[in-house]
Amino acid sequence: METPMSCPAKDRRGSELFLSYAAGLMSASEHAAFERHLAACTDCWRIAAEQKRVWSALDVLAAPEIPTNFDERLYARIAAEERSPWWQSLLHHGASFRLSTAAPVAAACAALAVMLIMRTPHPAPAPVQPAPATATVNQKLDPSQIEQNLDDLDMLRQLTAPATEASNGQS
Amino acid sequence: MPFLTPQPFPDDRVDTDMTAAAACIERDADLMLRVREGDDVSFALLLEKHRRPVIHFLYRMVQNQAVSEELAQEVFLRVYKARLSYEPTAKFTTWLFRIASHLAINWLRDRRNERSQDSLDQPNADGTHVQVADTSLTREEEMIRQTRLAEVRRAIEALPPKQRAAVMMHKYREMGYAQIAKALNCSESAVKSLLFRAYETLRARLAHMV
Ligand SMILES: [Zn+2]
Repeated sequence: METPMSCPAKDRRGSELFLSYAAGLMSASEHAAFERHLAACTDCWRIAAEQKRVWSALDVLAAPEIPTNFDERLYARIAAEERSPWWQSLLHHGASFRLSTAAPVAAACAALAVMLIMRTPHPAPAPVQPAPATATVNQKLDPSQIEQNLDDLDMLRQLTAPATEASNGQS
Repeated sequence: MPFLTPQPFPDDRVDTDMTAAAACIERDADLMLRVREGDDVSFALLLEKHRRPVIHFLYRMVQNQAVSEELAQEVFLRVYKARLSYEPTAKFTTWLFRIASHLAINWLRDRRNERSQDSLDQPNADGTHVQVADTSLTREEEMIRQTRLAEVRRAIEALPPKQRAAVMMHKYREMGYAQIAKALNCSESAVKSLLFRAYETLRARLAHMV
């Protein structure tokens, strides 16, 4: 004689059962045991019925057709980004840069440069070295792109690390 | 860029068959490694395979066609840009949905901050409402369907972004708790908690629907 299941409605871990039941993910024996409980428990019967209705109600949310030019647009964006070194995109944005905006920025840059020179220990700073060979790769990416790529790769690396409870319960 | 048109993949569902799934993982990672080596045809294959699920996920998240397409472009652009440093350390689709959910959640949070609820369920010119009429239904059936759709949209909109992402992956992608946890960068128990709370909200709002 199988022992009857404890009431899932009274057990937090039992919530999972309602989801599996509505999604049709239970094994035949789990399903049978769960239904036996539902027949005897009004609370669980109600939750299970509601979860089933929610599950099928969500089916109404169909997704749209994919636009035919999606790939074309993506490749155009990729081509544009691959083609433009970061300083070019700065120049591009600079076209709409007003002098009134540029002047304070330039002043701030100059002040920063002076500060840097004054703080630099002697001897005087070495002249800027020619870019190393690796710069041909980096040159393609602006600083925000590099940062964002690192973020995306971090997402990939984090996938291999165990998730922490620290991120629990955020909604 | 000489991209070829690959053969379409038959199904956008997460494969539950273990052998096929394993082959699939290897295949995606293998394709991505080839992209890293400069093979753009492999990128086209990955795009062909994952374009639909990514756009559909994003559409259900943001409920706006134009925005979902833009975000999907961003997802694939990011994948392409990250190719040079790609290492097959995790399932490709998990990484893909990690980027997609990250972008969608950020968009929803920004949007939530910047607006005082101009309701998403109202049809407008920016592609928010793209649900077309089902021509097989009578006028009355179509009206009922539209009413149900509006209710579902409102209920989904009531979910906080991360709960919404968990439901979208659980319901429409048939992803398991572990995979959703990886995509959302949290623990499995956190995912369960997100899902239980989300479905509780949805039950309160939608359970009367027959
Ligand atoms: Zn019970």
